[in-house]
Amino acid sequence: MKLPDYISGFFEDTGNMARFVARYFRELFRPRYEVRQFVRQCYLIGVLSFPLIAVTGFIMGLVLTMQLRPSLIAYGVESQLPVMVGLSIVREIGPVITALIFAGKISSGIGAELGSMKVTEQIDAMEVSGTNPFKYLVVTRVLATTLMLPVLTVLSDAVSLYGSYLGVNIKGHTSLTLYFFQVFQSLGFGDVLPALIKTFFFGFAIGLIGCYMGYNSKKGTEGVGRSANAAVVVSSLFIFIIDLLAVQITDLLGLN
Amino acid sequence: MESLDARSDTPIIRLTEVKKSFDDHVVLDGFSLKVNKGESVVILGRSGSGKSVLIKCIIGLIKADQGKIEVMGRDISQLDTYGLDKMRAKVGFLFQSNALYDSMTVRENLLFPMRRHLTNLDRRESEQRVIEKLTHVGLADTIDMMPSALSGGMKKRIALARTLILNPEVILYDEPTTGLDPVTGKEISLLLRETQRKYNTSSLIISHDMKCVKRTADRIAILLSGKCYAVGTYDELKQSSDKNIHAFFE
Ligand SMILES: Nc1ncnc2c1ncn2[C@@H]1O[C@H](COP(=O)(O)OP(=O)(O)OP(=O)(O)O)[C@@H](O)[C@H]1O
Ligand SMILES: [Mg+2]
Repeated sequence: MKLPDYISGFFEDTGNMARFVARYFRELFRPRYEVRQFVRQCYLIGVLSFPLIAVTGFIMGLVLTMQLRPSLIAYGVESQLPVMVGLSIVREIGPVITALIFAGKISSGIGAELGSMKVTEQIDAMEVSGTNPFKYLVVTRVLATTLMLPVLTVLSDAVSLYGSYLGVNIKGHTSLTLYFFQVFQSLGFGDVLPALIKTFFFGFAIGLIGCYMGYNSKKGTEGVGRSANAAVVVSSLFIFIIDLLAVQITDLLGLN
Repeated sequence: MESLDARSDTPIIRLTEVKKSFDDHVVLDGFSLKVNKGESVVILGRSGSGKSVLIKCIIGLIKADQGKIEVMGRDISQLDTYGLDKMRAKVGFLFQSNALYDSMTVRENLLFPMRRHLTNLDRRESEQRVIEKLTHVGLADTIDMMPSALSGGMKKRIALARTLILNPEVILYDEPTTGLDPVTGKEISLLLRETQRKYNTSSLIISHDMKCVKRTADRIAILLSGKCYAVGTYDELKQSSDKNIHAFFE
Protein backbone atom coordinates (compact mmCIF):
# COMPACT_ATOMS: atom_id res chain seq x y z
CA MET A 1 0.00 0.00 0.00
CA LYS A 2 1.32 3.41 -0.91
CA LEU A 3 0.50 6.48 1.14
CA PRO A 4 -0.74 9.56 -0.69
CA ASP A 5 2.06 12.00 -1.51
CA TYR A 6 1.00 14.70 0.90
CA ILE A 7 0.99 12.27 3.81
CA SER A 8 4.34 10.68 3.05
CA GLY A 9 5.67 14.18 2.32
CA PHE A 10 4.52 15.33 5.74
CA PHE A 11 6.32 12.47 7.49
CA GLU A 12 9.41 13.04 5.41
CA ASP A 13 9.45 16.74 6.33
CA THR A 14 8.91 15.95 9.99
CA GLY A 15 11.76 13.46 9.92
CA ASN A 16 14.10 15.85 8.15
CA MET A 17 13.21 18.61 10.58
CA ALA A 18 13.89 16.34 13.56
CA ARG A 19 17.26 15.45 12.10
CA PHE A 20 17.98 19.14 11.58
CA VAL A 21 17.18 19.86 15.24
CA ALA A 22 19.37 16.98 16.38
CA ARG A 23 22.22 18.25 14.25
CA TYR A 24 21.76 21.72 15.70
CA PHE A 25 22.26 20.48 19.25
CA ARG A 26 25.20 18.32 18.23
CA GLU A 27 26.98 21.17 16.51
CA LEU A 28 26.03 23.71 19.17
CA PHE A 29 28.21 22.07 21.80
CA ARG A 30 31.03 20.82 19.62
CA PRO A 31 34.09 23.12 19.72
CA ARG A 32 35.21 25.64 17.14
CA TYR A 33 32.68 28.22 18.22
CA GLU A 34 31.85 30.96 15.73
CA VAL A 35 31.77 33.64 18.42
CA ARG A 36 32.27 36.66 16.20
CA GLN A 37 29.59 35.56 13.79
CA PHE A 38 27.24 34.92 16.72
CA VAL A 39 27.75 38.42 18.12
CA ARG A 40 27.18 39.89 14.66
CA GLN A 41 23.93 37.94 14.29
CA CYS A 42 22.76 39.10 17.72
CA TYR A 43 23.27 42.64 16.54
CA LEU A 44 21.56 42.12 13.16
CA ILE A 45 18.73 40.02 14.54
CA GLY A 46 18.21 41.56 17.95
CA VAL A 47 19.33 45.16 18.00
CA LEU A 48 18.10 46.06 14.53
CA SER A 49 14.66 44.59 15.25
CA PHE A 50 14.16 46.74 18.32
CA PRO A 51 12.64 49.83 16.60
CA LEU A 52 9.97 47.76 14.87
CA ILE A 53 9.17 45.80 18.02
CA ALA A 54 9.02 49.01 20.05
CA VAL A 55 6.64 50.81 17.69
CA THR A 56 4.24 47.89 17.42
CA GLY A 57 4.42 47.27 21.18
CA PHE A 58 3.66 50.89 21.94
CA ILE A 59 0.65 51.03 19.65
CA MET A 60 -0.62 47.72 20.98
CA GLY A 61 -0.54 48.91 24.60
CA LEU A 62 -2.24 52.17 23.72
CA VAL A 63 -4.98 50.62 21.60
CA LEU A 64 -5.66 47.79 24.02
CA THR A 65 -6.18 50.29 26.83
CA MET A 66 -8.51 52.47 24.80
CA GLN A 67 -10.53 49.46 23.70
CA LEU A 68 -10.85 47.95 27.15
CA ARG A 69 -11.91 51.10 28.93
CA PRO A 70 -15.60 51.19 27.81
CA SER A 71 -16.16 47.58 28.84
CA LEU A 72 -14.57 48.11 32.23
CA ILE A 73 -16.65 51.26 32.74
CA ALA A 74 -19.75 49.24 31.91
CA TYR A 75 -18.93 46.85 34.72
CA GLY A 76 -17.90 49.68 36.99
CA VAL A 77 -14.32 48.51 37.38
CA GLU A 78 -12.47 51.22 35.50
CA SER A 79 -9.91 51.39 38.28
CA GLN A 80 -8.80 47.87 37.30
CA LEU A 81 -7.72 49.07 33.84
CA PRO A 82 -3.94 49.01 34.51
CA VAL A 83 -4.20 45.56 36.05
CA MET A 84 -6.21 44.13 33.16
CA VAL A 85 -3.97 45.59 30.52
CA GLY A 86 -0.80 44.73 32.38
CA LEU A 87 -1.81 41.10 32.77
CA SER A 88 -2.86 40.71 29.14
CA ILE A 89 0.31 42.27 27.84
CA VAL A 90 2.77 40.42 30.03
CA ARG A 91 1.11 37.04 29.92
CA GLU A 92 -0.05 36.72 26.37
CA ILE A 93 -0.21 39.60 23.96
CA GLY A 94 3.34 40.88 24.44
CA PRO A 95 5.10 37.56 23.86
CA VAL A 96 2.86 36.41 21.03
CA ILE A 97 2.67 39.64 19.06
CA THR A 98 6.39 40.26 19.46
CA ALA A 99 7.11 36.73 18.30
CA LEU A 100 4.81 37.07 15.29
CA ILE A 101 6.40 40.33 14.19
CA PHE A 102 9.83 38.89 14.82
CA ALA A 103 8.90 35.84 12.74
CA GLY A 104 7.72 38.08 9.89
CA LYS A 105 10.91 40.09 9.89
CA ILE A 106 13.58 37.54 10.87
CA SER A 107 12.36 34.11 9.82
CA SER A 108 11.65 35.17 6.26
CA GLY A 109 14.94 37.06 6.13
CA ILE A 110 16.90 34.04 7.25
CA GLY A 111 14.94 31.78 4.90
CA ALA A 112 15.67 34.00 1.92
CA GLU A 113 19.29 34.61 2.85
CA LEU A 114 20.24 30.99 3.42
CA GLY A 115 18.04 29.95 0.51
CA SER A 116 19.89 32.14 -1.92
CA MET A 117 23.22 31.05 -0.47
CA LYS A 118 22.15 27.48 -0.99
CA VAL A 119 21.04 27.81 -4.61
CA THR A 120 24.10 29.85 -5.61
CA GLU A 121 26.34 27.18 -4.04
CA GLN A 122 27.76 29.57 -1.43
CA ILE A 123 27.05 27.00 1.28
CA ASP A 124 29.02 24.39 -0.69
CA ALA A 125 31.79 26.92 -1.14
CA MET A 126 32.03 27.40 2.63
CA GLU A 127 32.20 23.68 3.10
CA VAL A 128 35.11 23.28 0.71
CA SER A 129 36.88 26.22 2.36
CA GLY A 130 37.10 24.33 5.63
CA THR A 131 34.35 26.26 7.43
CA ASN A 132 31.44 24.21 8.70
CA PRO A 133 28.50 26.07 7.15
CA PHE A 134 26.03 24.60 9.61
CA LYS A 135 27.94 26.09 12.51
CA TYR A 136 28.73 29.34 10.75
CA LEU A 137 25.24 30.01 9.40
CA VAL A 138 22.68 27.94 11.28
CA VAL A 139 23.97 27.60 14.83
CA THR A 140 24.82 31.29 15.13
CA ARG A 141 21.43 32.41 13.83
CA VAL A 142 19.31 30.00 15.84
CA LEU A 143 21.21 30.79 19.02
CA ALA A 144 20.82 34.50 18.32
CA THR A 145 17.05 34.30 17.78
CA THR A 146 16.64 32.09 20.88
CA LEU A 147 18.44 34.57 23.10
CA MET A 148 17.31 37.82 21.48
CA LEU A 149 13.55 37.24 21.37
CA PRO A 150 13.17 37.07 25.18
CA VAL A 151 15.12 40.31 25.51
CA LEU A 152 13.02 41.95 22.81
CA THR A 153 9.83 40.70 24.48
CA VAL A 154 10.78 42.26 27.82
CA LEU A 155 11.56 45.55 26.09
CA SER A 156 8.36 45.35 24.07
CA ASP A 157 6.34 44.69 27.24
CA ALA A 158 7.88 47.76 28.85
CA VAL A 159 7.10 49.97 25.86
CA SER A 160 3.59 48.52 25.67
CA LEU A 161 2.94 49.29 29.29
CA TYR A 162 4.13 52.82 28.71
CA GLY A 163 1.73 53.07 25.74
CA SER A 164 -1.00 51.78 27.98
CA TYR A 165 -0.12 54.36 30.65
CA LEU A 166 -0.60 57.09 28.02
CA GLY A 167 -3.89 55.41 27.05
CA VAL A 168 -5.11 55.54 30.65
CA ASN A 169 -4.20 59.20 30.79
CA ILE A 170 -6.19 60.20 27.73
CA LYS A 171 -9.41 60.13 29.69
CA GLY A 172 -8.28 59.56 33.23
CA HIS A 173 -5.46 60.62 35.48
CA THR A 174 -2.72 58.61 37.02
CA SER A 175 0.96 59.11 37.61
CA LEU A 176 3.55 56.91 35.94
CA THR A 177 4.71 55.64 39.33
CA LEU A 178 1.22 54.80 40.49
CA TYR A 179 0.40 53.13 37.17
CA PHE A 180 3.45 50.87 37.22
CA PHE A 181 2.96 50.21 40.94
CA GLN A 182 -0.55 48.94 40.21
CA VAL A 183 0.63 46.81 37.33
CA PHE A 184 3.54 45.21 39.13
CA GLN A 185 1.54 44.58 42.26
CA SER A 186 -0.94 42.51 40.25
CA LEU A 187 1.77 40.52 38.49
CA GLY A 188 2.93 37.38 40.19
CA PHE A 189 5.78 34.99 39.61
CA GLY A 190 3.38 32.69 37.74
CA ASP A 191 2.50 35.47 35.30
CA VAL A 192 5.99 36.53 34.37
CA LEU A 193 8.10 33.39 34.36
CA PRO A 194 6.06 31.09 32.07
CA ALA A 195 5.55 33.98 29.67
CA LEU A 196 9.27 34.59 29.55
CA ILE A 197 10.20 30.94 29.21
CA LYS A 198 7.94 30.38 26.25
CA THR A 199 9.61 33.21 24.36
CA PHE A 200 12.84 31.20 24.32
CA PHE A 201 10.93 28.45 22.53
CA PHE A 202 9.34 30.97 20.16
CA GLY A 203 12.78 32.35 19.33
CA PHE A 204 14.21 28.89 18.84
CA ALA A 205 11.37 27.87 16.53
CA ILE A 206 11.61 31.07 14.48
CA GLY A 207 15.36 30.78 13.92
CA LEU A 208 15.31 27.08 13.34
CA ILE A 209 12.46 27.07 10.85
CA GLY A 210 13.97 29.99 8.92
CA CYS A 211 17.28 28.14 8.71
CA TYR A 212 15.68 24.81 7.88
CA MET A 213 13.66 26.27 5.01
CA GLY A 214 16.63 28.19 3.63
CA TYR A 215 19.08 25.35 4.03
CA ASN A 216 16.78 23.00 2.15
CA SER A 217 15.83 25.41 -0.63
CA LYS A 218 15.11 23.90 -3.99
CA LYS A 219 17.05 25.04 -7.02
CA GLY A 220 16.20 28.34 -8.64
CA THR A 221 14.99 31.74 -7.52
CA GLU A 222 11.49 30.39 -7.12
CA GLY A 223 12.83 28.02 -4.49
CA VAL A 224 14.24 30.97 -2.53
CA GLY A 225 10.90 32.79 -2.54
CA ARG A 226 9.11 29.69 -1.38
CA SER A 227 11.60 29.15 1.41
CA ALA A 228 11.11 32.68 2.69
CA ASN A 229 7.36 32.33 2.50
CA ALA A 230 7.24 28.90 4.10
CA ALA A 231 9.52 30.11 6.88
CA VAL A 232 7.05 32.82 7.96
CA VAL A 233 3.97 30.65 7.62
CA VAL A 234 5.37 27.64 9.44
CA SER A 235 7.06 29.61 12.20
CA SER A 236 3.90 31.65 12.85
CA LEU A 237 1.95 28.43 13.12
CA PHE A 238 4.54 27.03 15.51
CA ILE A 239 4.26 30.11 17.71
CA PHE A 240 0.59 29.33 18.30
CA ILE A 241 1.24 25.63 18.82
CA ILE A 242 3.96 26.37 21.36
CA ASP A 243 1.66 28.90 23.02
CA LEU A 244 -1.03 26.27 23.33
CA LEU A 245 1.38 23.74 24.80
CA ALA A 246 2.77 26.36 27.18
CA VAL A 247 -0.61 27.19 28.60
CA GLN A 248 -1.36 23.50 29.12
CA ILE A 249 1.94 22.94 30.87
CA THR A 250 1.63 25.94 33.18
CA ASP A 251 -1.87 24.75 33.96
CA LEU A 252 -0.67 21.28 34.86
CA LEU A 253 2.07 22.72 37.02
CA GLY A 254 -0.51 24.85 38.80
CA LEU A 255 1.22 28.09 37.91
CA ASN A 256 -1.89 29.77 36.53
CA MET B 1 45.94 5.65 -25.27
CA GLU B 2 47.23 4.26 -21.96
CA SER B 3 50.74 5.31 -22.94
CA LEU B 4 49.85 8.94 -22.37
CA ASP B 5 49.18 8.19 -18.72
CA ALA B 6 52.77 7.21 -18.24
CA ARG B 7 53.89 10.85 -18.36
CA SER B 8 54.16 11.14 -14.62
CA ASP B 9 54.22 8.40 -12.04
CA THR B 10 51.59 9.20 -9.38
CA PRO B 11 48.11 10.17 -10.47
CA ILE B 12 46.93 13.15 -8.43
CA ILE B 13 43.34 12.07 -8.90
CA ARG B 14 42.28 8.52 -9.62
CA LEU B 15 38.65 7.59 -10.12
CA THR B 16 37.74 3.94 -10.27
CA GLU B 17 34.28 2.75 -11.28
CA VAL B 18 32.51 5.65 -9.58
CA LYS B 19 28.73 5.27 -9.39
CA LYS B 20 26.10 7.71 -8.27
CA SER B 21 22.31 7.70 -8.59
CA PHE B 22 19.63 10.02 -7.30
CA ASP B 23 16.67 7.84 -6.37
CA ASP B 24 16.37 5.68 -9.48
CA HIS B 25 18.02 8.19 -11.81
CA VAL B 26 21.48 6.82 -12.57
CA VAL B 27 23.91 9.69 -13.18
CA LEU B 28 27.34 8.08 -12.92
CA ASP B 29 27.55 4.45 -13.90
CA GLY B 30 31.11 3.31 -13.34
CA PHE B 31 33.27 6.28 -14.31
CA SER B 32 37.06 5.79 -14.27
CA LEU B 33 39.77 8.36 -14.96
CA LYS B 34 43.27 9.34 -13.91
CA VAL B 35 44.71 12.83 -13.70
CA ASN B 36 48.48 12.94 -13.49
CA LYS B 37 50.59 15.53 -11.75
CA GLY B 38 51.00 18.71 -13.74
CA GLU B 39 48.45 17.59 -16.28
CA SER B 40 45.33 19.33 -17.45
CA VAL B 41 42.41 17.05 -18.21
CA VAL B 42 39.12 18.22 -19.64
CA ILE B 43 35.88 16.33 -19.14
CA LEU B 44 33.50 16.80 -22.03
CA GLY B 45 29.87 15.94 -21.68
CA ARG B 46 26.42 17.07 -22.64
CA SER B 47 24.36 19.24 -20.33
CA GLY B 48 22.89 17.12 -17.55
CA SER B 49 25.28 14.24 -18.14
CA GLY B 50 26.56 14.48 -14.57
CA LYS B 51 29.76 16.51 -14.93
CA SER B 52 29.06 18.70 -11.92
CA VAL B 53 28.01 15.67 -9.91
CA LEU B 54 31.31 14.01 -10.81
CA ILE B 55 33.58 16.79 -9.61
CA LYS B 56 31.47 17.35 -6.53
CA CYS B 57 32.10 13.72 -5.71
CA ILE B 58 35.84 14.34 -5.99
CA ILE B 59 35.76 17.19 -3.48
CA GLY B 60 33.40 15.28 -1.19
CA LEU B 61 30.37 17.54 -1.55
CA ILE B 62 28.40 14.60 -2.91
CA LYS B 63 29.04 11.09 -1.68
CA ALA B 64 29.50 8.53 -4.41
CA ASP B 65 27.45 5.37 -3.99
CA GLN B 66 30.14 3.02 -5.18
CA GLY B 67 33.66 3.02 -6.54
CA LYS B 68 36.86 4.55 -5.32
CA ILE B 69 37.96 8.18 -5.45
CA GLU B 70 41.59 8.80 -4.61
CA VAL B 71 42.96 12.31 -4.32
CA MET B 72 46.72 12.57 -3.87
CA GLY B 73 46.85 8.90 -3.06
CA ARG B 74 44.16 8.89 -0.36
CA ASP B 75 40.76 7.31 -0.64
CA ILE B 76 38.41 10.16 0.23
CA SER B 77 35.66 7.89 1.54
CA GLN B 78 38.05 6.94 4.37
CA LEU B 79 38.69 10.56 5.42
CA ASP B 80 37.04 12.08 8.50
CA THR B 81 36.03 15.74 8.61
CA TYR B 82 39.53 16.78 9.57
CA GLY B 83 41.15 14.73 6.82
CA LEU B 84 38.62 15.99 4.32
CA ASP B 85 39.38 19.60 5.26
CA LYS B 86 43.09 18.99 4.87
CA MET B 87 42.52 17.44 1.46
CA ARG B 88 40.27 20.32 0.41
CA ALA B 89 42.95 22.85 1.34
CA LYS B 90 45.09 21.31 -1.42
CA VAL B 91 42.29 21.01 -3.95
CA GLY B 92 40.83 24.20 -5.37
CA PHE B 93 37.28 24.20 -6.64
CA LEU B 94 35.88 26.78 -9.04
CA PHE B 95 32.10 26.62 -8.96
CA GLN B 96 30.01 26.82 -12.08
CA SER B 97 28.03 29.63 -10.45
CA ASN B 98 31.19 31.22 -8.93
CA ALA B 99 29.59 30.98 -5.47
CA LEU B 100 31.05 34.29 -4.30
CA TYR B 101 29.71 35.26 -0.88
CA ASP B 102 27.46 38.14 -1.78
CA SER B 103 27.34 39.59 1.71
CA MET B 104 31.11 40.03 1.74
CA THR B 105 33.54 42.27 -0.13
CA VAL B 106 36.06 40.81 -2.56
CA ARG B 107 38.72 41.04 0.14
CA GLU B 108 36.58 39.16 2.67
CA ASN B 109 35.73 36.56 0.03
CA LEU B 110 39.42 35.87 -0.49
CA LEU B 111 40.22 35.93 3.22
CA PHE B 112 37.46 33.44 4.01
CA PRO B 113 39.33 30.21 3.12
CA MET B 114 42.28 31.46 5.17
CA ARG B 115 40.32 31.71 8.42
CA ARG B 116 40.62 27.96 8.96
CA HIS B 117 43.70 27.13 6.96
CA LEU B 118 46.80 29.32 7.10
CA THR B 119 45.97 30.63 10.56
CA ASN B 120 49.69 31.24 11.00
CA LEU B 121 49.66 34.22 8.66
CA ASP B 122 49.30 37.61 10.29
CA ARG B 123 47.04 40.32 8.92
CA ARG B 124 49.63 41.93 6.74
CA GLU B 125 50.71 38.64 5.21
CA SER B 126 47.12 37.60 4.50
CA GLU B 127 46.43 40.96 2.91
CA GLN B 128 49.53 40.56 0.77
CA ARG B 129 48.41 37.16 -0.35
CA VAL B 130 44.98 38.53 -1.29
CA ILE B 131 46.58 41.28 -3.35
CA GLU B 132 48.95 38.83 -5.01
CA LYS B 133 46.08 36.59 -6.17
CA LEU B 134 43.98 39.53 -7.29
CA THR B 135 46.90 40.85 -9.28
CA HIS B 136 47.31 37.45 -10.89
CA VAL B 137 43.74 37.60 -12.19
CA GLY B 138 44.18 41.28 -13.10
CA LEU B 139 41.62 42.75 -10.72
CA ALA B 140 43.59 44.21 -7.83
CA ASP B 141 41.49 47.37 -7.91
CA THR B 142 38.25 45.58 -7.04
CA ILE B 143 39.42 44.59 -3.57
CA ASP B 144 36.83 46.68 -1.73
CA MET B 145 33.94 46.04 -4.08
CA MET B 146 30.93 43.82 -3.46
CA PRO B 147 30.43 40.88 -5.83
CA SER B 148 27.08 42.29 -6.98
CA ALA B 149 28.94 45.22 -8.53
CA LEU B 150 31.08 43.00 -10.76
CA SER B 151 30.43 41.71 -14.27
CA GLY B 152 30.22 37.99 -15.05
CA GLY B 153 33.77 37.76 -16.30
CA MET B 154 35.08 39.70 -13.29
CA LYS B 155 33.19 37.42 -10.91
CA LYS B 156 34.78 34.42 -12.58
CA ARG B 157 38.24 35.95 -12.11
CA ILE B 158 37.57 36.77 -8.46
CA ALA B 159 36.28 33.25 -7.92
CA LEU B 160 39.48 31.95 -9.49
CA ALA B 161 41.56 34.18 -7.20
CA ARG B 162 39.67 32.77 -4.21
CA THR B 163 40.28 29.24 -5.46
CA LEU B 164 44.00 29.99 -5.67
CA ILE B 165 44.30 31.59 -2.26
CA LEU B 166 45.50 28.46 -0.46
CA ASN B 167 47.95 27.58 -3.27
CA PRO B 168 46.19 24.34 -4.20
CA GLU B 169 48.04 21.54 -5.95
CA VAL B 170 45.14 20.63 -8.13
CA ILE B 171 42.17 22.73 -9.26
CA LEU B 172 38.77 21.50 -10.34
CA TYR B 173 37.02 23.88 -12.70
CA ASP B 174 33.29 23.52 -13.33
CA GLU B 175 32.56 25.11 -16.71
CA PRO B 176 34.87 28.11 -16.32
CA THR B 177 33.82 29.80 -19.56
CA THR B 178 30.12 28.97 -19.78
CA GLY B 179 27.92 32.04 -19.94
CA LEU B 180 30.74 34.39 -20.92
CA ASP B 181 31.17 36.11 -24.26
CA PRO B 182 33.81 34.57 -26.59
CA VAL B 183 36.42 37.23 -25.88
CA THR B 184 36.09 36.97 -22.11
CA GLY B 185 35.93 33.19 -22.47
CA LYS B 186 39.25 33.27 -24.28
CA GLU B 187 40.79 35.46 -21.60
CA ILE B 188 39.63 33.05 -18.90
CA SER B 189 41.00 30.05 -20.84
CA LEU B 190 44.35 31.74 -21.16
CA LEU B 191 44.24 32.62 -17.48
CA LEU B 192 43.72 28.95 -16.65
CA ARG B 193 46.78 28.07 -18.70
CA GLU B 194 48.78 30.82 -17.08
CA THR B 195 47.64 29.70 -13.62
CA GLN B 196 48.69 26.16 -14.31
CA ARG B 197 52.12 27.28 -15.45
CA LYS B 198 52.74 29.85 -12.73
CA TYR B 199 51.50 27.87 -9.73
CA ASN B 200 52.43 24.48 -11.12
CA THR B 201 48.99 23.00 -10.54
CA SER B 202 47.22 20.08 -12.12
CA SER B 203 43.72 20.68 -13.35
CA LEU B 204 40.50 18.91 -14.08
CA ILE B 205 38.32 21.11 -16.22
CA ILE B 206 34.71 20.56 -17.11
CA SER B 207 33.64 22.25 -20.28
CA HIS B 208 31.73 22.02 -23.48
CA ASP B 209 33.21 25.17 -24.94
CA MET B 210 35.49 23.60 -27.59
CA LYS B 211 37.67 26.68 -27.91
CA CYS B 212 38.39 26.56 -24.21
CA VAL B 213 38.97 22.82 -24.43
CA LYS B 214 41.45 23.25 -27.25
CA ARG B 215 43.37 25.90 -25.33
CA THR B 216 43.50 24.15 -21.99
CA ALA B 217 43.43 20.39 -22.48
CA ASP B 218 46.41 18.05 -22.38
CA ARG B 219 43.92 15.21 -22.52
CA ILE B 220 40.18 15.00 -22.95
CA ALA B 221 37.81 12.50 -21.37
CA ILE B 222 34.31 12.14 -22.72
CA LEU B 223 31.54 11.47 -20.24
CA LEU B 224 28.65 9.62 -21.82
CA SER B 225 25.90 7.62 -20.12
CA GLY B 226 27.71 7.88 -16.80
CA LYS B 227 30.89 6.28 -18.10
CA CYS B 228 34.20 7.49 -19.42
CA TYR B 229 33.46 6.86 -23.07
CA ALA B 230 36.81 7.86 -24.55
CA VAL B 231 40.10 9.48 -23.55
CA GLY B 232 42.62 11.13 -25.81
CA THR B 233 44.26 14.33 -26.92
CA TYR B 234 42.30 16.97 -28.77
CA ASP B 235 43.69 15.93 -32.13
CA GLU B 236 43.21 12.23 -31.52
CA LEU B 237 39.57 12.65 -30.61
CA LYS B 238 38.93 15.13 -33.39
CA GLN B 239 39.98 12.55 -35.93
CA SER B 240 37.79 9.88 -34.40
CA SER B 241 35.12 8.44 -36.63
CA ASP B 242 32.87 7.52 -33.70
CA LYS B 243 29.76 9.64 -34.09
CA ASN B 244 29.34 10.13 -30.31
CA ILE B 245 32.80 11.64 -30.11
CA HIS B 246 32.58 13.49 -33.37
CA ALA B 247 29.41 15.25 -32.21
CA PHE B 248 31.44 17.43 -29.84
CA PHE B 249 33.79 18.64 -32.57
CA GLU B 250 31.26 19.84 -35.10
N1 LIG C 1 21.15 16.92 -5.64
C1 LIG C 1 20.56 16.30 -6.65
N2 LIG C 1 19.41 15.60 -6.49
C2 LIG C 1 18.82 14.97 -7.51
N3 LIG C 1 19.28 14.97 -8.77
C3 LIG C 1 20.41 15.64 -9.02
C4 LIG C 1 21.11 16.34 -7.99
N4 LIG C 1 22.20 16.93 -8.51
C5 LIG C 1 22.17 16.61 -9.83
N5 LIG C 1 21.12 15.85 -10.12
C6 LIG C 1 20.80 15.29 -11.44
O1 LIG C 1 21.96 14.75 -12.00
C7 LIG C 1 22.04 15.02 -13.38
C8 LIG C 1 23.37 15.62 -13.70
O2 LIG C 1 23.48 16.89 -13.14
P1 LIG C 1 24.76 17.79 -13.29
O3 LIG C 1 24.51 19.06 -12.57
O4 LIG C 1 25.97 17.03 -12.89
O5 LIG C 1 24.82 18.05 -14.86
P2 LIG C 1 25.97 18.75 -15.67
O6 LIG C 1 26.59 17.71 -16.53
O7 LIG C 1 26.87 19.50 -14.77
O8 LIG C 1 25.15 19.73 -16.60
P3 LIG C 1 25.40 21.28 -16.96
O9 LIG C 1 26.29 21.28 -18.15
O10 LIG C 1 24.05 21.79 -17.29
O11 LIG C 1 26.00 21.94 -15.76
C9 LIG C 1 20.87 15.91 -13.72
O12 LIG C 1 19.92 15.13 -14.38
C10 LIG C 1 20.35 16.37 -12.39
O13 LIG C 1 18.95 16.45 -12.44
MG1 LIG D 1 27.21 21.45 -14.26
